[in-house]
Amino acid sequence: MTKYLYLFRGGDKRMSEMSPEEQQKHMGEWTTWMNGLAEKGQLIDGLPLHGDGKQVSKNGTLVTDGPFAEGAELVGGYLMVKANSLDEATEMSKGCPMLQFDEGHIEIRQILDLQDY
Amino acid sequence: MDNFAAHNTLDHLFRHEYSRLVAMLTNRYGAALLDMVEDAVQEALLKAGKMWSYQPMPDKPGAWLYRVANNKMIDFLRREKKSVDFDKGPASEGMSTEEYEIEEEVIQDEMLKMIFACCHPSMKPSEQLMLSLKLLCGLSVKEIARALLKSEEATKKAIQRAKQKFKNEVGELVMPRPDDITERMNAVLQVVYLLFNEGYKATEGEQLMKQELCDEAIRLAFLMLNEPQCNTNELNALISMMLFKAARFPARQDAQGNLLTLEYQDRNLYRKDYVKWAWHFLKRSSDFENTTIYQLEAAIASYYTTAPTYADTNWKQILRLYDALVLHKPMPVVKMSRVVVLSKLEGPAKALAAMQEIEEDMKANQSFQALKAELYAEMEDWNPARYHLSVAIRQADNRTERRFLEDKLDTWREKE
Repeated sequence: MTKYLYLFRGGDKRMSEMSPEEQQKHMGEWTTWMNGLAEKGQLIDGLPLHGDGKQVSKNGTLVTDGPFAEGAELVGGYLMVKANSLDEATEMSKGCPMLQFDEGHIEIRQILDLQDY
Repeated sequence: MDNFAAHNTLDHLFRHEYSRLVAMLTNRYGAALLDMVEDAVQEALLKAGKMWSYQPMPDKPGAWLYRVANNKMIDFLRREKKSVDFDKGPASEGMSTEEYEIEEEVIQDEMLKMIFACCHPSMKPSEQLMLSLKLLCGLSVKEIARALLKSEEATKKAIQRAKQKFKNEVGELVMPRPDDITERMNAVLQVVYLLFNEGYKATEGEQLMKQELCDEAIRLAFLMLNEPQCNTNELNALISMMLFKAARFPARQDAQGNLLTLEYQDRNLYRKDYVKWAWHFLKRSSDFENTTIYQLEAAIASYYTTAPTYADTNWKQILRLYDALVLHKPMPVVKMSRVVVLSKLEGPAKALAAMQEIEEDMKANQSFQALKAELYAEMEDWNPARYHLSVAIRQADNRTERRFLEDKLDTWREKE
C-alpha cells in the first residue's frame, strides 16, 4: 500500500463560530471517521496545526511571522493514511466531517517512497 | 440522586464545561472581565475540539480545559498590560494539568455564586433568563434565539445589555448575605421556573432543543440543593413540579411530530423514574411549614401526571389546589387554567361564565380563544365554537399550533 497525506483547509474558521454543543458534535463525527480508518488499518498518523508559525527564506536571513495563507487556505491539520491508489485515498477522504462546511477542503498528495520508482 | 442529576453530563460535556469554566474564571478574575473570560473559555474549547478530534480525550478533560483557559486569560491580560495577581491560586503557566484539578465541591460552590450573579437584582427577570442561558447553560446566541423563538439580532442585543449590567454591578462573586438570601433565592427560582416553562410550553421550535431547556432548568435546581441555605421548601417543590411535568416528555408528540395534549398522551410512556423522584422532592418540600406557590403547582402536576387515565383525573382535588393557587398568584393565566378544571366538574356553561372575568386580559391570547371554542363545542353550539376557533387560528404564532387548530376546524365544518 502507498502512503498519502491529507491536508485540511478551511475548517478552523467555521469551528470558531460554533457553539460548545456543536463543537462537541463535530468532534464526535471526526472521532467516528478516524476510528473507521483506524479499524481498517489505514490510519498512520495525524494532528491539528497551531494557527501561528514562522516563514523562513533567503538562506535563513528572512524570517517572518505566521503562515501566509488566510482563513480558508490555512492548513488546519494533516493526516497520513495508507491506500492502494490515489482514487481509493480520495474516496476515503469523502467521509471527513470537515467537508460539511462550504469552505472546507482536503488536498490529497501521495507521499513518495523509493519503491515507487 | 447523583446518578439522576448527572445523567447527561457526558452528552453535553462541552456546553457544561463552558459554564463551569466561565464560573471558575469569573470567580477568579472578577465580573468586570466577563468578556475576556468568555473569549478565553471559547478558545480553550476550540483547541480541545481540534485536539480531541485527532486524539483521545485526556482523562481529566475539565482540568485540561481549565489550564488552557487560564493560560489564555493570563495571555490576554499581559497583552493588555493589566497586572495580575499570579499568586492567587493555581495561576502560573508552568503547572501540570493535574495541578489544575479542582475538587468538585469547590466548582459547585463557584457555580452557585455564578447562578446568584446571573440573577443579580440589577437585571430584569428577562435579562436574568438570557444571561443564565448564555453563561450557566453554555448556549450560543443562535441557540438561545432558536429556543426562545426570537430573532438573533434581538437576542444578541438583549444579552449585551444584560452583560453590561453584569460587568458593572456584580463585582466580586459572593454568596448573598443571610439577610438577602430569601429575596435572592426567589429571583433564582423564578429564572429556573421561566427557563423550564420556556422549554415546556407547547410552541414551535425543535422539540429536542426545548427539552434541553427543561433539562438545564432541572440541572441548575439540583446544583442549588447542595447548599444548605438554598435547600428550601420552594426549591424542593419547584424540582418536584419540573420532574412531574418532564416525566411526560416522551408522550408529548406523536410519530409525525404533532403535539399531543394530556388527553391523548400514552401514559405508559411517562418516565417512571422522574415521577418517583418528583414524589421524593414533594415530600421533602412538605417537611417545611408554610405552603408555597411551587408546592401547589407541584401538587397539581402530580395529579395530572399520576392519574391512570385522563378521564380518571382527580378534578376535584385539582380544582381545590387551583382555588388556593389563585389566591397566592391571582394572574389571568392561572385563572384560565382553573377554568379548564372547572369545566370538567361543573360543565362548559359555568366555565364560560367564569371566563368573563379574564376576558379583557386574555382575549388576545390564542389559548383563551381555543378554550372558548372548545367549551362551545362541548355544548354543541357550533357557530360561536367555529368563530372562536378561527380567531385562535389567526392568533396562533407557530405552525404546529396552527396546524393543530386548523385540523380541528376541518372536523367542525359540517356540524350543526
